[in-house]
Amino acid sequence: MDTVIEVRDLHREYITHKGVLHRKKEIVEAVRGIDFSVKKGEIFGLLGQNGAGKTTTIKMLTTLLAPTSGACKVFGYDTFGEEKYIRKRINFIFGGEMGIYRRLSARDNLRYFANLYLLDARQREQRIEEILELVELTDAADRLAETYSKGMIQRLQIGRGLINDPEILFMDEPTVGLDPVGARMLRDIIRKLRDEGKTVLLTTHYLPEAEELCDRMVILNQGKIAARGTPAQIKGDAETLEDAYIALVQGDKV
Amino acid sequence: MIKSFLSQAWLYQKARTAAFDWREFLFLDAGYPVMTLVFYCLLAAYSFQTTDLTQWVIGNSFLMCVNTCIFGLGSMLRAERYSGRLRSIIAAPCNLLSVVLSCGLFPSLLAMGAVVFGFLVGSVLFGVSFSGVQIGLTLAVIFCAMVCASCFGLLLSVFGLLSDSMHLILNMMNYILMIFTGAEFPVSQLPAAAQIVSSLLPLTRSIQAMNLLFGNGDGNIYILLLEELGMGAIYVLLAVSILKYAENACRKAGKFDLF
Repeated sequence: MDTVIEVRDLHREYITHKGVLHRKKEIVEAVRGIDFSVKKGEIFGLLGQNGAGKTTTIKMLTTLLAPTSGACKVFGYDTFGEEKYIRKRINFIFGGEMGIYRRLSARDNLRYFANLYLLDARQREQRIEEILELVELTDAADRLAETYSKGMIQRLQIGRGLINDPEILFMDEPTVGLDPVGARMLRDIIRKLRDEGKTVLLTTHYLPEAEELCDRMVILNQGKIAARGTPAQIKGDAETLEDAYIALVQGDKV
Repeated sequence: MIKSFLSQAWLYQKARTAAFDWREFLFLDAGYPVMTLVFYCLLAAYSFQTTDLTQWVIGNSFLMCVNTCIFGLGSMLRAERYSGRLRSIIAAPCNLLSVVLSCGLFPSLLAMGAVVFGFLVGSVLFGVSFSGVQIGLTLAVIFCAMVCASCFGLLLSVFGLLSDSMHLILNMMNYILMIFTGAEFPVSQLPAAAQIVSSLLPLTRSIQAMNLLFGNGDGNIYILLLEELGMGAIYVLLAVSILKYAENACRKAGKFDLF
C-alpha cells in the first residue's frame, strides 16, 4: 500500500508576546518531534488528552498551519510550500457548531463549499443530493441552518467535509455533539469511505469508537508519541483500551 | 467560471441578508448614513454660513458607501475567521482573491444604491437641484466611485489575515476618508502633505468629478474617472501581492482560527 501521509520529527511551537514595555516572549511547544505514516485506505487514529497536540498536527496536515521544523508530507508533497497539490484531494471535519453559514440552508451551504472546490454546476448538484441523503438531511435541506439542532449542524459539517469526494479525510473529534444515532451514522460513513479506498485520519476522545474503527493509531501525550500500533497492540494485557490509554498518559505524567 | 463566481456572490449575499428585516434596513442601513449626511450638512451650513450645500450633499452621499464597501468588505476575512469558516476557505483549492471579490459584488451594487439614495434625500432636504446635470454621467461617476471604494475595501480585507484589530483599522480609515477625500472639507484647503494623502485615497476624484458635474471647481471629469478606476486597479494589485504573503504569515503564526 502507498504511504499517503508522512510525518518525520515534526515540531510546532506557538510564540506569544506579553507585556508592553518589558515584552516577554512565551513559547509553547505543542508538537515535539513526532513521527508516523499513514497508508492509503487506512483509518488512522490520533488519540490524546486535551492539549496533547492532536489538533495542531491535523492543522499542519491540512495545510492550515506551517510546521516549525520537521517533515510533514501528504501525497509526497510538503504541506507548507506545495499545498496547491494537496488541497483539492483532501478535506477535513472539525467538531463543534462553527464553520457553516447559519443563515443559509444546508443545500446552499453545500453549494457554497462546492464552489470553493471548483465543482461544475452539474457535478455539484449531483454531489449535494448524494451527500444530503448520506447525512440524512434531505428533508431539512432547504431550511436555514440556524433552525437546526446541534446534531444536524454536525451532520452538515460532515457533508461539507465530503463535498469534494476527498481521498483523505481528516476528522478532529467529529462525534462532538452527535447523538448515538448520529455517531453510528458517522461511523458507518467512515467505514464506507474505507471500503471505497479512502484514507481517514481521526482524533477522538471516545476510545471504544477508536478501537472499533482504527486500523492503527498513535497516542500523543504532551506533544510526543506515547504509544503506537494497532488497537490490540496498544491494549496489550490491559482489560480495555481505555485502561491502557490511562496508564500510558498518567505514566508519562509520573 | 463566471457562473460559479456569480453563484458564490449570490450565496454570500443570501447568507448576509437571509434574515432581512425592514426595520434593520430602515434604521441601520439607510437611517444611520442619512442622519450622518444631515448632521454634516447642517454643520457645514453653520460653519461656512452658506445655503448652497451641494458639495456636502455630494461628499456625504459618497461616504454612504463606506458602511458597505469599507466596513462590510474590509471585515470580510475577519468575520469568516471569527465564525470558523476561514479555514475551509483557505484550505480549498480556489483562489482566495476570487472568494473575496465574489463577496464584494452585491455589497458594491447595494452601495451604489445607497449613494443614489443619499443624493435623493439631500436634494429633498437641502434643495440640491439636479436640473441641467447629466444623469448618465452622474451614474458613471457613482459607478467608478463604488468600484474604487470596493477595491479599497478588498485591500483592507487582506489585513484581516494579519491583524486582529480590524475594528481599529476600519474606524480609522472611515475618519481618514471623511477628512481627506473632500467629502467634508475642500481638498484644496488642506495642507500640501494632506493633499498627497487625498490623492492616494478612493472617492477623492469621484467627489471632485461630481462637484464638476454640478458646476463647482475645475478639471476634466473623464480624466478624473479614469484616474479613479486606475486607483482601483492599484488597490487590487496591492491586495494580490500582499495576499499570499498574508496567508503564509497567518499559517506561520497559526492565526486562522483565533477567536
